[in-house]
Amino acid sequence: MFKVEHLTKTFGETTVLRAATYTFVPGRTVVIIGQSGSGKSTLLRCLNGLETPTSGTVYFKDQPVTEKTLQHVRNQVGMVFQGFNLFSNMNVKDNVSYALKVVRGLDKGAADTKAKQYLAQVGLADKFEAWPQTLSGGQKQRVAIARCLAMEPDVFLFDEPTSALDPEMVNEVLDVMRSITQQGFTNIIVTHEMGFAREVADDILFMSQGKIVEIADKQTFFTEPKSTEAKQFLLKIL
Amino acid sequence: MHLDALFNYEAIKQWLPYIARGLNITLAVAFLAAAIGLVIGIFINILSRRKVLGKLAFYYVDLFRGTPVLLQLSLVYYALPRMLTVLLVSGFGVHVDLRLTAFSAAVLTFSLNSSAYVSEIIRSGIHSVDKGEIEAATALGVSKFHIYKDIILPIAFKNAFPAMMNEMITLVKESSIVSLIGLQDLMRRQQIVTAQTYLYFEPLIVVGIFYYAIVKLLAFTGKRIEMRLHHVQS
Repeated sequence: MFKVEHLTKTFGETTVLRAATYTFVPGRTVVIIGQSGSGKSTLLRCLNGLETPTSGTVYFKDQPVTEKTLQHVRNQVGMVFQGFNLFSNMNVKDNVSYALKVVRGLDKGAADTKAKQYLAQVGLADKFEAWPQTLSGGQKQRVAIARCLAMEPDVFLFDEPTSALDPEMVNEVLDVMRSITQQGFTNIIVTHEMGFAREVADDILFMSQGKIVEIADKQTFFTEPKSTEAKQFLLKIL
Repeated sequence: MHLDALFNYEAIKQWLPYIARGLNITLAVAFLAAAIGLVIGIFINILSRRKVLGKLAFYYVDLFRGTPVLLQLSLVYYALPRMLTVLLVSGFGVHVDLRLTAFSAAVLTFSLNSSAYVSEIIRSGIHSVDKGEIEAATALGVSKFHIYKDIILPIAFKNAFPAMMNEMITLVKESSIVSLIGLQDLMRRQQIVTAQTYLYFEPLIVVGIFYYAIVKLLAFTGKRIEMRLHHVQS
């Protein structure tokens, strides 16, 4: 689905991504783990062009991602952010239906119907008319997920979706994500929730200091990690 | 002691309609300057994203914010017509006797001056929009045009509105210096009444009440609109 080749990203003097190479297989759930600042989010953000790589290439369905093809990529790739990033000048329903109208070209009626359908799917049927500012963190993130679902993408990018949540709200978001991983999408998830990673991942990408240090299926990664970095990381968190 | 000794209402009474007519001039200058200043302010913001024109826009804003408005008014009223006349004669051989009425000079000066401040207000309003919301829209495939129209500008307007209202109030008060070029606004009429009646306190108080009432009215209206803008979103 996505392929990255020798992807490098530098911000000023610091290199946050060093020659990352990997192929994301369609229909699989890949969880990217590693310490803060190891380049996980940057890798994710390079995929849909929120960051432009300093060097290297991103391929989407075998086509290199360029300024010209970016729109085509974004049409098929949904992204969920750590900070929810709901549109603060729109209510919940409009948050979900907005892109359906201006990107997909649906009329208001069709867009609203679809918005309601997907909001119901994340358990927020009663919040259509609510404003984002009145929702809890967990509810906000579920609206953000519904906003992605409604666009019916092929790929889901999750950028630490539960890191900004109060502990008691983490599960309601993980529940929704769990059901997404069971629907055959390609999922690329950056998270610090190791229990969840262990449960939903097909493959694990372990990153350290901007490099992809270890690629393994989850069984192998969690039981017999090869690199010293991964061993140390797992010791620290498990 | 008679209260009359403090505030001689009988003496000032007949001048009240005359002073009140100055309110029209004060409001005309302030509102025209606010409207034209807003248009120029938006224009400066668009220009400021370009390289060379952006530099010019920066110096324009810097100059108008860095000098007193009285100086600007004097330059526009006394020096600008003369400068243009000389330029036209020496440059194109055209002989025109350019003149600016006090009213035009006042509106022109305050429009230019206000635009410098308004452009900064708009800039910080746009700056206040959460980058994350823009990223979310970008990731959804929303075009730059739609992001501006539907997300950045509405949020920036809401955030910048209180500062805009303040600028409007500042204009009403600062426009009082147009009295120095003879424009018969509220302030100037106080001076005329004083010259006619030798009364200082009474016309000053009357004019003060007018200014204060207008400022309070504007502030009240602003608060109402602000509350509405917030109410819709919570």
